[in-house]
Amino acid sequence: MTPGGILSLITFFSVLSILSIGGSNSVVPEMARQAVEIEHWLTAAQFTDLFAISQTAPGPSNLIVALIGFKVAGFWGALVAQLSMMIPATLLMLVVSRLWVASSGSQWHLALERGLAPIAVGLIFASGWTIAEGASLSVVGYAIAAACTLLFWKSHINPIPIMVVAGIFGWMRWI
Amino acid sequence: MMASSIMTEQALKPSLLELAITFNKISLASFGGGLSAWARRVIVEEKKWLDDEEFLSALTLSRVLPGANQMNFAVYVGNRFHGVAGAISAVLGLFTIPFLIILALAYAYFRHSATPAMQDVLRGVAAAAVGLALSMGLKTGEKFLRNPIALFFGALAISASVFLKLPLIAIIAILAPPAFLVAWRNDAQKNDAP
Repeated sequence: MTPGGILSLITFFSVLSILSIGGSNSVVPEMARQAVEIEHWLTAAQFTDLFAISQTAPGPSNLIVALIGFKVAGFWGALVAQLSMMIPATLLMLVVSRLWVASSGSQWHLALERGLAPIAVGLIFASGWTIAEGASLSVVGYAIAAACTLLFWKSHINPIPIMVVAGIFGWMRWI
Repeated sequence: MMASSIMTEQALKPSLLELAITFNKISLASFGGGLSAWARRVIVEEKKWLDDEEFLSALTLSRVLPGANQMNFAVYVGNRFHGVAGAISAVLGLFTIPFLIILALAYAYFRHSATPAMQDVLRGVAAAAVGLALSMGLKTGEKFLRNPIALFFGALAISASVFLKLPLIAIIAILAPPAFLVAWRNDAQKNDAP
């Protein structure tokens, strides 16, 4: 573990944290450029593998940062990189959350909340679409997605067992 | 429980530990995408910590501001009940165990160059996650079915994302001002009415 490596993890990821507008996946190309081409922390193939691992594992979408930090400086590298990626954006969100909660009840807050709600709902539908496209589902996969939509909409069934069963179907290559 | 049938704001207020445990549960269930749908299920339906309106606005804030959406959302909910301490508990709950899991996977990958052959499993889970996301859209959108203005803005948001592939920040920047003005005007008219 070199102090220089730790320092470049901190400076790179804390800047990236504030740039990750719209979610951490928006800065993955920049991460790849820095980690592979500039710093040579990883090979391009390793980066692709780590991205796949980070998407598969449970948890927030920015865990690829911990994986890069781990390669650079082991456990402490992972922790430092992850915290650098988390803290600036989290502080900004904290400030904005407090302003938002403090203004609740005011007319502009209510109008903004009411105006944004249908847009948020539209974006939720779009996110379902995006997941489907990214997963390149088969016809059976789409049928299961449609069945799950109805099931989760109309019943209070716990989605976790259903997701496990769907995972097993995928493993069997039925989806 | 019968004893707690009279729910007050105080009774609903979670402890710091409960915030951490709840966000841990949400994040561990979030693989394969569709985390926000799962978060709504737990936070709005099960725990009743937020109503749908507040959930949607918190989700939009979380998505517009920089940072992982799930972490921003945890900050919002944590802060809402316990200020800075709440935000820290919720974020720690969300991130600690997944962080340890990912380190174990990193160790396996670099020591044994074992790439987990998870793509097939992930595709299956994604099919269910699509259902979870769409069902959440239906649940939160049902009440707009007879509201032509809401349907109009919802449809514009879907088309801008799915067909035009605009980034989220651009969609909000374009649609939020007119949606805000329409909502503002409607409120003003309601207030003017005797």
